[in-house]
Amino acid sequence: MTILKDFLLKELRKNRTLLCIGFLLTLVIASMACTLVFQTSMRISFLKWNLVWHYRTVFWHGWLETFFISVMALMLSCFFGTAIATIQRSSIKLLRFAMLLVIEIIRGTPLLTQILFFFYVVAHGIGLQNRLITGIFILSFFSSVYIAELIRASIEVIPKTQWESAKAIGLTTFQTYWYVIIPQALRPLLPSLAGQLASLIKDSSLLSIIGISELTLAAQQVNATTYCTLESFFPLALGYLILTLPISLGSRLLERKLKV
Amino acid sequence: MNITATHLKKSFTINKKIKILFSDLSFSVTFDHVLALLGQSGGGKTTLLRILAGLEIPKHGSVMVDGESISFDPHSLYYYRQKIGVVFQQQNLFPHLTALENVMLPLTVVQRMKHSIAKKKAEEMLEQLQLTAHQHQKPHQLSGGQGQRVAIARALITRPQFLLFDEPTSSLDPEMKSEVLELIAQLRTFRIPMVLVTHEIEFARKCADQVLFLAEGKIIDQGSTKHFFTHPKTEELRRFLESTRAFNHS
Repeated sequence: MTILKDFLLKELRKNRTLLCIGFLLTLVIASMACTLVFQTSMRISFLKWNLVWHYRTVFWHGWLETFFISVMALMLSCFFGTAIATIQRSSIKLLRFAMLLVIEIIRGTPLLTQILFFFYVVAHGIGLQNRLITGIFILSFFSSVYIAELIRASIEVIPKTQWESAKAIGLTTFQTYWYVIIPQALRPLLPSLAGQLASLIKDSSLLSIIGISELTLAAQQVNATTYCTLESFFPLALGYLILTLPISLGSRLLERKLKV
Repeated sequence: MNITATHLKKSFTINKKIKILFSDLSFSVTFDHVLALLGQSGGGKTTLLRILAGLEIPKHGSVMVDGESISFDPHSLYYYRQKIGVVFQQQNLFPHLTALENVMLPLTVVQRMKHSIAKKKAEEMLEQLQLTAHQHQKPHQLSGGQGQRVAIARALITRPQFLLFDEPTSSLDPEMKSEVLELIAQLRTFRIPMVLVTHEIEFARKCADQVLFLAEGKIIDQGSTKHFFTHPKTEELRRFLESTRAFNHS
């Protein structure tokens, strides 16, 4: 079995046509599955889009909330991520160690656990009542740790000779980062950063657990009232795609622009 | 130009083992244009050059350049490095910038010169070094020799007090080597003193005024080029010259 798998993988890597056929095959199977689902639901009852249409404002408000949470968390996590990456490169050993500990704790626990812990323990402890702000902060912290690791990795791949060269022509540390390191680090960073930001948007759906009325909670509410499962959750998926697709497209464009 | 080093000590820690490069290095050398640092690999030439470039800090000792002592605290070194030019073994250009932008960077960022003036100066410099045709190319589009010439232009653009070359041709093909060596020889016209670490013995012979020969962290021999090559004082130097000659001719 493993021999067959290895062989197939090798062939796939070698042959792009095979890859295309594989992709097409997946597409065909997926569309067949979709048709089947549609047909079944059609047979049981006609799709009640009109019923769900009635709740369009619920979806719209949920989507807006998700959009707001995502944008805020995106900005905050980029800011915290840069801060963590900077601390990790600091010359104070204790600071680096403390940061490493925080990173390991956040990376080693599920986001859902963190949401519950921070909301019910930390936020309640410090008297933070606003669910939305708490949610945004939890999501930002979680994501910033991953972003910091991406930043660290993309800085580390830059050859030492570049630092040396910058030093030799008389640049300060800040100038070295600004004119030499960051422009070079951006190219390997962008695709992975876009991936991380897209998953942040998707992860925001977990905030429904603490009652933030974002898109997922809205869809759940519509489903609970109308019992129209497909009609409730289809807009949910679409709503997330509207947010994530521009990010991956934008990153691809930027990547091409920044090509050396 | 005069360079004087007194009781220099420098060591490195490699795999938790301390390697002493210089235990007590002292010399004084005066030259007009070019000083060549010769010697076997691992003899300490590059480290000495890096100390002169303000990129390494010796453990003990002092270095004086034209009577002025180099202060090895980080803040003073930052200003000191602005006054000198360094060309490394690998071209070390910034890959995201074009040749012109690479040459402009020390002017616009370090000297805070206006963009238009810096551009004009950089274009003139590239023209002088016959690189105008390549000024809008990025480093990966340049040949090794062209890249190294742009690196020389970047080091020259600030009109440094002196220029340091760390084996500038050792990573190049033979044809490109001659292109870069020719340029270095022409730099005499700029009247900027140069210190050159090189394995190109014939080139050092033609181009340098003074030679320092280092082995195992000590100065074995030093003197004017003419004298140095014709009358090697030590057996070690004589063997070194013979081995390189044999190598060069093979």
